[in-house]
Amino acid sequence: MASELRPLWEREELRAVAGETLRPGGFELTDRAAERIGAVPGWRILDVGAGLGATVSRLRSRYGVEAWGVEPSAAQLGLGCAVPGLVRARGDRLPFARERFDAVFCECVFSLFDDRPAGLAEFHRVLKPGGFLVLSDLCASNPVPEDGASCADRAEPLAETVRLVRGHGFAVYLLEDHSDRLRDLAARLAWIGEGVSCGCGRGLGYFLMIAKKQGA
Amino acid sequence: MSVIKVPGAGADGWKCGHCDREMVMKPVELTYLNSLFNVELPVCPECGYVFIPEALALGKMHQVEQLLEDK
Amino acid sequence: MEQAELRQWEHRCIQEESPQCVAACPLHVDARECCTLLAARRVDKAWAVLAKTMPLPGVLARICDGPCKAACLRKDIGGAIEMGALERFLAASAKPAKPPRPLPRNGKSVAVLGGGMTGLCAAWEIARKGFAVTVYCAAPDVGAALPEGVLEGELEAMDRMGVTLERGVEPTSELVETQLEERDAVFVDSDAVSDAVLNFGEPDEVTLGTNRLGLFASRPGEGSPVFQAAAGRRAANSIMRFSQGVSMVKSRELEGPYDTRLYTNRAEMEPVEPVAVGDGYDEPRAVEEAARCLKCECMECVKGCVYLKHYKQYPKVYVRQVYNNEAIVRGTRQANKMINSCMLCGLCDTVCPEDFAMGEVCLEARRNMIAKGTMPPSAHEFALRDMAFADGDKCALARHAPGADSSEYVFFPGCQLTATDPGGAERAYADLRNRLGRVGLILRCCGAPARWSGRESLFRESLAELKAAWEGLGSPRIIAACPSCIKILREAMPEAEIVSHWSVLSALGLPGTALQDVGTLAVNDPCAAREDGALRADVRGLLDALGVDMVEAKYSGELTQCCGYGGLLNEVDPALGEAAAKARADAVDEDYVTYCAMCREMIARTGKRAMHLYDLLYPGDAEPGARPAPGHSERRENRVRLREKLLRELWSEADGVSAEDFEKIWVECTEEGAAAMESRRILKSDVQKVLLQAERSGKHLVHGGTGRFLASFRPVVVTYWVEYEPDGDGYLVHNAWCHRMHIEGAQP
Repeated sequence: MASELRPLWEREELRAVAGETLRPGGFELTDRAAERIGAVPGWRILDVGAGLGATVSRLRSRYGVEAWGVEPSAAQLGLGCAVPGLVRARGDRLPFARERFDAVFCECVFSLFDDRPAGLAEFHRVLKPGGFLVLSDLCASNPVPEDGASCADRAEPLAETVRLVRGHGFAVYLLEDHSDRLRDLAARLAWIGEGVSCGCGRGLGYFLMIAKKQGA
Repeated sequence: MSVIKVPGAGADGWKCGHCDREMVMKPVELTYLNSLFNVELPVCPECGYVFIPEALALGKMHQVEQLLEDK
Repeated sequence: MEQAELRQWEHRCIQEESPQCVAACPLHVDARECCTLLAARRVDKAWAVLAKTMPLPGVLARICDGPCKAACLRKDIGGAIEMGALERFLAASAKPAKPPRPLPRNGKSVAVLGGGMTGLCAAWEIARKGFAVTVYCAAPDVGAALPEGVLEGELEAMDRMGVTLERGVEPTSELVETQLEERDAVFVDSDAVSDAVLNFGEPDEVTLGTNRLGLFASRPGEGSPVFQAAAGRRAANSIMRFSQGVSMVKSRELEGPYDTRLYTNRAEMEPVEPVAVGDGYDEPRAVEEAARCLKCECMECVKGCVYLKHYKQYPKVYVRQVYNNEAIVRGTRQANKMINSCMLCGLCDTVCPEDFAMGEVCLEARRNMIAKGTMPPSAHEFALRDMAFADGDKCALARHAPGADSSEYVFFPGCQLTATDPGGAERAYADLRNRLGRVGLILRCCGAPARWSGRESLFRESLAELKAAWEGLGSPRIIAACPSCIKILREAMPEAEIVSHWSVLSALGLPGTALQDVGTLAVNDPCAAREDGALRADVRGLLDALGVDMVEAKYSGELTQCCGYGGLLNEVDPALGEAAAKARADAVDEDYVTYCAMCREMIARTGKRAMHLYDLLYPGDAEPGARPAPGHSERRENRVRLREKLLRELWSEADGVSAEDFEKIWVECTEEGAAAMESRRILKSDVQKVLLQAERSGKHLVHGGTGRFLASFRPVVVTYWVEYEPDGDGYLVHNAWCHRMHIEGAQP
């Protein structure tokens, strides 16, 4: 029963079916974004909601970039201790100076932010001028009450997220629908009886957005 | 424009049957596909009938035609 | 052609794809080239092929585990090439190759930790890229016993390439840290250091990067020497990119083994057993083994096509030439003749595993040339004039059957059948009327020459006239005999029901005139019947009913080869057209029977006995296989006379077309004169026009020696010269020639 009380993303079962990345699409969307923004050695990239540090590790080993990660969960950080560059912090209060990063990745966690506008303001602050925000997340077709603990319960309609991102000094550079990857993850979870409880497939979608910091 | 002298472009024993005159070598204007050449050829000095030898028509002249067609 | 189209076509042609061995080798050693050279006893050159690709070639060639063997296409026909044994033979016997000359020093340095095969190969590859490399290890150890001096020899070569070897150093985590501080990058041979050093996460499979920036490492547990070497090369590539700050991931798909699309047809290859390796090969046995290499390539289309063979390359190269030909603004378009020579027969895309259609490429290119005005004027002129003649007043005709005022069917024999076998066409028409009743007749051309030459608007004009004639007869079902007509009309006139004469005869049974027990014949399918299985089956059914024992050429049915007339090849390049006909003629020993008038003509002109199916169904006086092939002028006359004869005999009409003045000139030719006219495509009517002009103007040349006359005339764009002598009321023609260049200000 104890495991039932922990959030889904901290559960072993999820890691077993979703892999290290704990999100729809796995590294595919990370790689897609990294290649699209042209990440090269010498870049500094921040991963917000780094979990076990899988994305940080991927960005370092595959793209040769100086990747950092912030993760508020001590439990997750403990498991990912071998990965350099992981820091315990909340996404809406980043312990970095302004204009430090060429890109900020925020994969499948933005919907969990208590204060999304504050988070976006922080992303904007730490990005260099012209830097990239890579956002992949669930989205809902209708507004839902923001009281659930599951990411599915808190998903925003995509148009709302786009409006919010634009309103915080970003231009949307690429927006792609990847709902098929969410369906794939839902199908995998169904094998371990979690398909319904996580809400995957209840008219939810998944998107990849790349936005570019506007102005100085 | 300089006059082109083609080796072997002689009268080969032909003369004008109408005027009964020996052919003489004279510049003749030949045109093809917007190109113009002044070529020295056997011509009847009286009526101006021009002789194009078989070897010239099927040899050099044909090569020039093909070249111009591919330009 | 747009560049994107070029890329698509290029991609379809797989001839330049890697052979299986090269694709399967993680280093992409060119085993095919190596075997080709070795089979030619060029031992040193064969070794150079290995040495230029392999790191530490003297070592690697002796321990290579040959992953190419599992991919080798010889595998199923005798056994895979013993590449490992060949490598060992070459390593032992060839003159040592010089180590590669590294790129100029880039001022950067890299440390390699661990002196296993992976570490040493990484050092070799990194040094080649211009880095200063230091290897730290207890002792170099490639994990295999080698002849004395071999490893030391390669280490000396590495020294010359700029690699420093620090022996007696045990790599530790501390060493990793200090080297990361001092160097631009560090590479760890994970199988040659203690596990304690491996604390940087799993190396990325594409880059071998780790979560420590600048630290690269092999993935532990690799046992294959050639894959170990490949890991070293992969790391070198990554370190180069890392140090230059360029993408670590772009364009790396061809690193390591990849899939190749190269197709190699092995249907006719004989199995040959591998030469026993024993204690290793000596030169004769190594050469024998190398000679077993299939030298894999595709060339499926080229093998079956005289045209593709003639230009010595393959479609990927050709399509580039077509593209360049179009792109040229000034200068000579070198590929015009190549583009105009394709027979458009469709064999290449039928045999190509990727459906590369040279015909489509060439036809589109011809249309573009027409549109841009760059089509050479002479290329198709003769055929188009012939088409205009067949569609003109002297040849064209559309009538209901005699005495009928409507048509249930209309017979469309096509302009080539009426040109080559007017008697057969006449007898066929009589048979159809006898057995089907109200069968009208249309004599004209289907428009194939216009279409093949890329003149689509001319084709549409000709088609509109044909349609008007057909609608004038009440749009009856069309019975067509020529496979090209059937194909073209079915595409262009979907509103018409078009049946082949052969399917009609299949239903009606043989005509009363048909010969019996014909004997053995080889069936020649025309290229227009390639995609028409029903047509080919109808023809074979009729041949069976005729008592023919059928044999098939190697290229038959949907794989049939063009006779050399298709696409107007024979007009553009008569010698190549003849070569195509000859290839067809030589394909079988038996006499041919075909059902396309042009196939019959082209093959018969090579001297091969060939007959049209009409020769068996509607025979004339001549023995079927020996019916002569008429010349250009006679073909025209045949059409004219057929029309006149039918009008007179069936419809009791005078032909209504008055003869032109030049046609009244009586002309006879010497054998030489006739041959010159035929090969130079000079018609009797052209000669008559010259003679009429000479007669009327009184102007001509005369030869002092022979006394012969010579005159010229330019009816439209070609100037014709005729050498002749007066002969009674007419003329005897000794010779004729022509040119297109215009003589300004002289005789007309």
